[in-house]
Amino acid sequence: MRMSVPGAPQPVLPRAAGDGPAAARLPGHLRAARTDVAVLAVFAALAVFTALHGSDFATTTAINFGLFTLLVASLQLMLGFANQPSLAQAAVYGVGAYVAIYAEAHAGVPVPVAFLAAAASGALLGLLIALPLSRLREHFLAMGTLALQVILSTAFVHLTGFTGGVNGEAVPDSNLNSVPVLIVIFGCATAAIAGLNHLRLSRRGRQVLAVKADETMAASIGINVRMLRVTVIVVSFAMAAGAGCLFTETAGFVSPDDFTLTASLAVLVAVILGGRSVTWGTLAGAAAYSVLNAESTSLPGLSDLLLGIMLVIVLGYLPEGLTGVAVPAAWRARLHWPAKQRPAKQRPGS
Amino acid sequence: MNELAGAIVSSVFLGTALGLMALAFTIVYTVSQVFNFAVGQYMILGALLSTAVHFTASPGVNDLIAVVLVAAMGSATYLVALRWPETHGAKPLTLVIITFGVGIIIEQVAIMAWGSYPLSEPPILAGHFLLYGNLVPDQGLLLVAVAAVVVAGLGVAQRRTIVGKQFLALGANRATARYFGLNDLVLVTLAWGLSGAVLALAGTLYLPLTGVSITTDLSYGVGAFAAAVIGGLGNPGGALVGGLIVAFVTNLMGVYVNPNLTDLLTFGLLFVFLVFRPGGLTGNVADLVGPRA
Repeated sequence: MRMSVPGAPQPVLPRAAGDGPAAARLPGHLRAARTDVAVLAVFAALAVFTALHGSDFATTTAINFGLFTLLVASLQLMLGFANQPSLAQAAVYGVGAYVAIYAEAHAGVPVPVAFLAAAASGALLGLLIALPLSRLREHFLAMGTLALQVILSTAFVHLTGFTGGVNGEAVPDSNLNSVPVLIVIFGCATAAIAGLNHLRLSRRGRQVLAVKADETMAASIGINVRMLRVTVIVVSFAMAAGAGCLFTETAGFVSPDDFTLTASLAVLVAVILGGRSVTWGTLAGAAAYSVLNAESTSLPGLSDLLLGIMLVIVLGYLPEGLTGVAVPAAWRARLHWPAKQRPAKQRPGS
Repeated sequence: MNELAGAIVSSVFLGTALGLMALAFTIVYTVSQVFNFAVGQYMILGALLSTAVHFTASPGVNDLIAVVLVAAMGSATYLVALRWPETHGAKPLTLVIITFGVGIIIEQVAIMAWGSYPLSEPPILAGHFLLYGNLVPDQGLLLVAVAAVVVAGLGVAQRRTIVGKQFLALGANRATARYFGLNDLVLVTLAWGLSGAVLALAGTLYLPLTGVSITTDLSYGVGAFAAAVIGGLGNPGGALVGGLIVAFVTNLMGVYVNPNLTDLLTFGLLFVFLVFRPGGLTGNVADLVGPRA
């Protein structure tokens, strides 16, 4: 077992077949499927608990957790895989929500079609944004998406014909606190996390990780860097917008207050709070933030204050996230923890 | 004519305030490549503090007290929230998001202390005169005069004084600057304090013209960011020019097209600059975007 020395983190190289315990010699995707089952079990247990508990508060909290998990997964794809930060996830979520309402209320389409329309609108927005923004890196990309967030927030307030303005837009035929919708949302969340889990092992996923590790190197071995960067944004935005459609199914009405910059920052803090593990980090970050947020609704402003304090503490002092702190090194090896993003050094003897 | 004159006057005042904020932004960016997204909060906090102490101090002195307090807060922000991550390998993105967190904390604490309704801050100069039928407050002229002195002074100080050169050296390459014996802890803390002082100055001088409310922090903050990017990050004179551009574009848009769309235009302008000229009007693009693939 590799020892981790505090203060001197060793680069963890991608695990070769045969590295690790005997049970881990299964083919990659099959091995990863065990994680999918575990995630599914977590969601299933939570859904059963919520259904048995039966209170509106429990259902609402669980639904918010599921939706938030989807948003966190969408940003995990951008930030965790491709190191492309986004401060606009909540705005894209809003675009999906408004498109879904419009499709259902004015075009009268059934819910699955509205879902596809919402996801398509997110993808289109992602394409339009990513083509110019894919030139920007790191914090400049964050600033570009910040501009997008604020532009969309302003548009939500002032495009009253489409969004209902600050008063919000009522949702036709919404199912408040319904368990079937909860199950659909949990199913989507499980699928999103499993998708990320397997993307890690796929050809495309490895290409994205290569771009993250070293763009020049990736380009030099024939990876189309720009195309990948654009694709990641498109898929991530489609996920966020699809989550927006699911949100409308459970909300009586939506208003621009649901899609603010603060919400985008909350998604970001949840991703970093979770840590670098794609699956468990997404789940842990979303869960931790949802619990803290549900606990702090008693006092207005407290949840925002908490978000600010968490941004400072988590980003500044816990860059490894919750899973980085809480999961012992021995487990990390079993869970084939993702490698730290730093130039991989040659290990002696390898 | 009257309408245009009024728009120009208010644009000059807003632009000067945004320019000062962009200058504060650029001071921190020059030294440590960090965007400080709490600029809007510090600026308004300056005005709030100055309002809070105006009964106990004579006009002008209360502003100075606020400037000193906010400067101390700027330094404290760096020492408490940013120093440790910065020295432990945090990326610029992380530091930027931390400043967002600091901004949220300041905003929420200010709402608890002062509420979110606009307060009126007493100006230093209460007089005004008429220009084409528009009232021009003397306080605005004071703001422009102070801003001109501050921008010119800092521009000269950056190039002519030892500390200014040390700031530039730290920004160019912190590791090398440390090998040459610069104390980066003291210098970056100083830069954050200076930035806080400039922000408080902008707030205490400009906000008597409009009213003080902490909830406007984001629009001032991102306006200042837009001004800094447009003017070219790291360039004090450019910051002022950028502030004036942002203010003129948004105010003229507000008067002649649709006041609801001013925010949209500011951020649209920011977006266009980020994509096509991330170095601003004056800056160098090469170090801001990655290799072309």
